[in-house]
Amino acid sequence: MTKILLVDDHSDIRRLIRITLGKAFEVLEAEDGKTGLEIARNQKPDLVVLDVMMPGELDGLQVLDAIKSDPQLKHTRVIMVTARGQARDYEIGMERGADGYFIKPFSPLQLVAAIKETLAK
Amino acid sequence: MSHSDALDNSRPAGGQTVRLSGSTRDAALHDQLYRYAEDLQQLIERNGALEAHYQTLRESTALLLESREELDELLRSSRDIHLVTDAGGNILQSNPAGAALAPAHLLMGCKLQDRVLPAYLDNFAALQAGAIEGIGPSGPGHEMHLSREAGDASPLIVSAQALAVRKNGELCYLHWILRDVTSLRETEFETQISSMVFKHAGEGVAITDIEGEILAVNPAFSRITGYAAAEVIGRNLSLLSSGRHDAAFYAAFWRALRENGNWQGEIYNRRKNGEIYPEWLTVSAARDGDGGILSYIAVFTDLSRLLQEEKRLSFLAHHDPLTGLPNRLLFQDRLGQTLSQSRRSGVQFTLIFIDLDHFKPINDTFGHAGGDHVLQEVARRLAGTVRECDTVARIGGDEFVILAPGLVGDTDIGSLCGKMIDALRQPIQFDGHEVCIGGSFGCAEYPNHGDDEVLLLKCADAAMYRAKAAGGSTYVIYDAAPGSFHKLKENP
Repeated sequence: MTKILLVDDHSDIRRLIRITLGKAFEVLEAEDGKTGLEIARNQKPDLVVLDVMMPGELDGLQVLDAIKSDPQLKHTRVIMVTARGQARDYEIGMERGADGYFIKPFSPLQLVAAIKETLAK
Repeated sequence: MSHSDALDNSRPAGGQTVRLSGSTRDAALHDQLYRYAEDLQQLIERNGALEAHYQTLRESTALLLESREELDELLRSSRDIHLVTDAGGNILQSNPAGAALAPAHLLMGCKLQDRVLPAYLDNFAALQAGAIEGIGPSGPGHEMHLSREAGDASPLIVSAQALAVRKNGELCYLHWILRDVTSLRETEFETQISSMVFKHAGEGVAITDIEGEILAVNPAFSRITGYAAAEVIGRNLSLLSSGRHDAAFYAAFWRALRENGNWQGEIYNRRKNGEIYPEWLTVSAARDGDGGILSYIAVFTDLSRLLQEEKRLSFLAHHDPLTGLPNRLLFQDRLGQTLSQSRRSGVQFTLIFIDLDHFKPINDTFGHAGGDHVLQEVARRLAGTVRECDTVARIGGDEFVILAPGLVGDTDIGSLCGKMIDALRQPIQFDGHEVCIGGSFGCAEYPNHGDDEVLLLKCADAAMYRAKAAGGSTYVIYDAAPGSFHKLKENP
């Protein structure tokens, strides 16, 4: 089963995304960047949904860098999620190898569609 | 609730920031939930649309099923024969109407073309090829005559269509639709024949309603009566009445029609030009299914031509075709009549025999044409000389006879014979030549010289020979005294 890792400090948002993804995926969750990276290294998810702005040691962009520089994880698909108006985050994220980018509040239907599309690439 | 507040990292850390951060998180969740609600609404709408579509699909499937059953029912109850054959014409299926051709169990497995009468095999082949090549049904269909089960000699006449049934582009069946047009064609044929007879019959035909009002007439009607169809349609047939028949005649005519449904007989009618003519009329009633009279059909033959022909034949039988004078037959008839009249009335008459003098040389010199010309001229001169009541007849090659009622006595006989001798002595022109003849006249009187035909003819004949012996161009009146003849005028 396709594994998807959700990294977001907001547990309600994680829950919403989990509901959106339904039972078609195995969904893993992390509430900060550091935990997320650990889970990624251990579980090797097919795709990571990564919040850019997170408190703690690693924010989303740093986690992205870590994934893309890890030989074992660099092919993992990454979709970034950020707050509205942070246009620079988008540019930075895409430059650093993200596969997609969503601005909160995002349409759950579009997110699911984007996840499926990205996985199919 | 500005996001920019939440994202302003330059703000100093502190309780306010934490508070603000908490409110930002709520706001983000709130906004995200709102997006969820929007998507949910979209999903609900899409679901509604899908459900509606599903319902439509279900209904149309049901309709499809229903129409499929209706189609089957239509085929079952169709009066047209529906046959399914393979491409080779082998019959695989038939609807009940196929029984007109043969019972179903006899049709199955047979070739359709084995049922097609030879003259129509080309039509069959054209239909079959047309369907297979996908040209499709061509026009209203071809006609074919099919043989029914043995024992039924009359063919089944069908208007046929063939359709190819394909699956995934591959031909699997031919669907034949055969419409029985047998009775239609037979009726058409009868109608055609009837109308041909109506149009081309030599007999005049008029169709009237039960009151005698004319509904239709044929060309022969117009030819005989002189009335065009448009002039008489809607008028009563009685417009042809000649007035020669009385009311009782017509009453009997209509009674026969009402009671027996037909009348036949000779009737005098009047043409448009007023001429009255006899016709042989047959009137028949046309009845409806319940036996009620719908109309009358009057068929008539113009008898006037026949009567004329009869007269002509009679004239030919009684006249000399060369001169137009009465011939021996008619002369004897007239002589017989004159005799019997004279016997009753006591009126005397004279019989004059005439034999032409010098006639034979004319025939020898100028041939028959010359002889005929002379005979015709003689006939004209004799007929132009005698009285109106006299009969001039030609009874042999150059022999003529005159029957002159009331002519008696040497003076009167001599006067008439003298005129005729003079008339015959005038030269006759023929083909640039001038020929001269004469006549020897022998006369016998009734009742002085005989009181029957044989005796009178014998006397006249004998007197004529005397005139001939005297050199011709003279007349001799028979003398009852043996060996003596009355001679009034000598050869000049």
